[in-house]
Amino acid sequence: MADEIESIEVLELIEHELAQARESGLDPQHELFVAVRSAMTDDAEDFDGKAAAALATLLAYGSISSQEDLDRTLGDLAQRVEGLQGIRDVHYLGTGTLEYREISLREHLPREVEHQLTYEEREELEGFIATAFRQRTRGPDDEPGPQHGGPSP
Amino acid sequence: MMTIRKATVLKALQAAIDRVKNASASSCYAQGKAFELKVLARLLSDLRLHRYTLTCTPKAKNHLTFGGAPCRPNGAGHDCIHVRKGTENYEFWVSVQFTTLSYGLGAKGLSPTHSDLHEIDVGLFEPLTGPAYPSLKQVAFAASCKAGAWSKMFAREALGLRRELGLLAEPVTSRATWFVDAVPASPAIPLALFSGDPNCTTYRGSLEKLGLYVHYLKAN
Repeated sequence: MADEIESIEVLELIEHELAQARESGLDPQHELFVAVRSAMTDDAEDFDGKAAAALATLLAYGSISSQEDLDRTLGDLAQRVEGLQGIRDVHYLGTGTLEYREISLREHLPREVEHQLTYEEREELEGFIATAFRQRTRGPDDEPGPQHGGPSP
Repeated sequence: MMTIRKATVLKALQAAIDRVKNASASSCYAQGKAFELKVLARLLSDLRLHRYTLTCTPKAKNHLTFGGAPCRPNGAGHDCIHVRKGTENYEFWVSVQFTTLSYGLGAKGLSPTHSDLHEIDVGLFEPLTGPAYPSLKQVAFAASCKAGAWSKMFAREALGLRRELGLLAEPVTSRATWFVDAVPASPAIPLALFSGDPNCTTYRGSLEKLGLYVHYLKAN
């Protein structure tokens, strides 16, 4: 398909976009750049594996839990645990410098998340990543794997 | 060579860059706790499949209360989840510290401090009464939770915790058969490491030979 790119192009695109983001003067982007680089193997020829590692890092960075996600998790808990029906939040108690601090999880989660990946986009990324990692663990005499990212196993 | 849609890669890049731009100390803490809660929900789901009964009596009407940092069992202030089946009786606690294997080997009556204690992010214990730190004898299952990007450091850290949870041994029946049948450790406490980064899946396999089970769990 016209808008499909190969693993080596995925790597070029990520390097290019992250370099541009760094040039825009936003220093924290360096953290992402380092994380993407660190995730890759030192196998120079394994472009599929490198692209999968880079995409997995982006997926991890971009996965933000919102208040809606918290509602879903609390709903799961309420279904399984007797006594948790009607629970709307989780508070965490810790010691501050002068007194006990109580933090509401809901108050510290965003209401909405911009640029959130759709279910289909996430499935596409996870399929690509899983296939590439499976190929990496095959020996040279094993059957070749599929040549495109399918659904996650 | 494999292929993927360029538009999907660009959207993943944008989402990741947004996250880094907008990250603050409190939001990182909350994201970690949200992931930890998801791990708890996943473990409770596994227990229900194994026909355990799960109950909780929250101290507040509308919210759960957990330890927000490494802590003692606090029955008066924190909530726990009771797990029962037949004669089996356990409790899930968040962020409770246990007294380590090395402390047990060399304590000689001294109170545990610093390196004698390690936190279990989500831990299943025999019923805990009072504020004393639980010992290894009371730990049935331990999980470490890592939101955000995977780092090899997580595996190294978990291996350190693994060491303090028991000695390497021939596999024997697990203390948490609902999670894994046998564990190569004495005592046979399984240690799970949950990450929200698919890169962690490349660490599955050999670490299980040491009783460390790495799992990918979608963060949202």
